[in-house]
Amino acid sequence: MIAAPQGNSSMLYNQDENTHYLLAGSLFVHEERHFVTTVLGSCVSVCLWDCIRNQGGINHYMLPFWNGEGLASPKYGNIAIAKLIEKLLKLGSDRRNLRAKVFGGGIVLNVINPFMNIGERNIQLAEDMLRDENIPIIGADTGGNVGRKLIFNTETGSVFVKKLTKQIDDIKL
Amino acid sequence: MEQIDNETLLDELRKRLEENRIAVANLRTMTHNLEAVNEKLRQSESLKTDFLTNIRNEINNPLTSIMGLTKQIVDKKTDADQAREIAGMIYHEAFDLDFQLRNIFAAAELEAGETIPSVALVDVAALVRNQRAAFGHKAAEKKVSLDFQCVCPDGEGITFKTDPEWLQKVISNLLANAIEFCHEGKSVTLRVWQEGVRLNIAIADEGPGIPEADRKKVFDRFVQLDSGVRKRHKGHGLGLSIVKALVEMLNGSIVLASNKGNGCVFTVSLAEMETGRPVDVTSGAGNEFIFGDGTQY
Repeated sequence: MIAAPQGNSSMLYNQDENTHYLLAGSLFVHEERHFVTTVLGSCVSVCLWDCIRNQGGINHYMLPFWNGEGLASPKYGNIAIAKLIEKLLKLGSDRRNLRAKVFGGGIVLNVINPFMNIGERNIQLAEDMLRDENIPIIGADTGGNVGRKLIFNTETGSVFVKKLTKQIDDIKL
Repeated sequence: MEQIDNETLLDELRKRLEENRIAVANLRTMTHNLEAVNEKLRQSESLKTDFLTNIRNEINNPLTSIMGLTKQIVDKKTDADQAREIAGMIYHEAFDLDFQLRNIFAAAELEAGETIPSVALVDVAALVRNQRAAFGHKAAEKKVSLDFQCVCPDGEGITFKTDPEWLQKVISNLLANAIEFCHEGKSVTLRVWQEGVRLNIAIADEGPGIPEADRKKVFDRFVQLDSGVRKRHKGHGLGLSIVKALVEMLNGSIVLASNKGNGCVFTVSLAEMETGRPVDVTSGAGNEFIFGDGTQY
C-alpha cells in the first residue's frame, strides 16, 4: 500500500488501482475510479466531480484562450473546461451535481507585467467559466511561487496536493 | 480636516492622471489584441466550414474511383498485366484516402485532448526508411527523388525513446507535403541526426517555398496557401497543424526555413520521452516527495 498521510486525512492508494498520468494539454474523464496525477507550474487544472454519480474528470491547460492558431486543443483553458464539462455530461452527469476544484497558476518567471501573468490569467479563466456554468468551486490551491503535483481521485473528488519547492523551470509543465 | 497645500494636491492629481493615462493606453492595446484574435477566430471558423463542405468530395471521389477501377477488373476480361496496372491505380487512390482520413482522425483526437503517448525505443532510421518506401510511388509519379541521410554515430542506426506512431505521423505529413510541392524532376531530402540528447529530422524540398509572411500561418488548421475551388493541391490543410501539435507533445520544436522560390526545410528537434508514466507519489523527481508532506482538498 502506498500511504500518503498528511494534515487532514489519508489517501490510500494501492498498486492495483487504475492510475493515469495527465500530460499538459490533455484531459481525462472516466466513470471508473482512477487516480490521476499531474504536475502544474503556471498551468491550471480544473478537477470536476459529480457528487451523485461519483465520477469525475480533470484537465491541464497552459493558456487561457485559444487564439485561432494551430489546432483548437485543450491546451487552451476555454476549450479544456468546456470539453471537461461536455464529457462528464456525456457520461450521464447532471450539471447541477458538478463540483469543481481549481489548482495551479503559480508564477513561473519573475516578470513584471502590466497585465496579469499567465498563471493568474489561467486562474481567472477557471473562476469566470465555472461561475458562468454555475459550477461551485469547493476547493482550490492556486497562485504563489510554487509548482504543484496533484493526485485526483475521480470517484471521491478528493485531491492530494504536494507543493514543489524546487525551481519551477525544472518542472515539466 | 487636515489642510493640504496646493502643491501636494497638484502632485497627487498629476500622479493620478498619469496612472489613468497608462491604464487607458493598456486598455487600448488589449482591445486591439482582442480584435486581432477575434478576426483570427472568425477566419478559422470560416475555414472549418469550407473544410466540412469539401470533405464529402475528398472522400467520395477516391471511393468512386476505387469502385470504378475494381469493377473494371471484375467485369471486363482483363489480363494479368492490365489487372495489375489497375490494381496499382486502386492502391494510389486508397493510399491517398487512407492518409487523409488518418489526418482527420488525428486532428480530432488532438482537439479532444485524449491522445495518450505510448513510448518505446524506436529505430528511427528504419521508421524513416519505411516512410520513404511508402511514399515511393508518389515521388515516382513526379520523378522526384527521395534522398535519405542518416548520420549515425556508430553506423548502427539511431534508437530513440519516443512515441513511434506520432513520430511516423510527423514524418509522413512532412514527407507528403515535400513531395506534393516539390517541382517535377527535383529532389526531396530527409536527414536524421542526433545532437547531444536531441533527435533532429530535417525534410527539405525543392519547391516554390513559402513567403515569410505566411510562414506562421501554414501551421494553422485548414490553411492551404493555395486554396479555393481551383486549388492545385490535394488535402485539407490539416497536415502541418497536426505536425505542430504532435511535435509539441513529443517534447520538441519545429522550425521552418524557406525562401520564396527556393523550397522549404522543416526541421524537427525532439527530446526523449520517458517510458512508463510516473504514477505514484514516489516516482519522477522523487526526492521531494516525502510522505506526509501534502494537503488533501
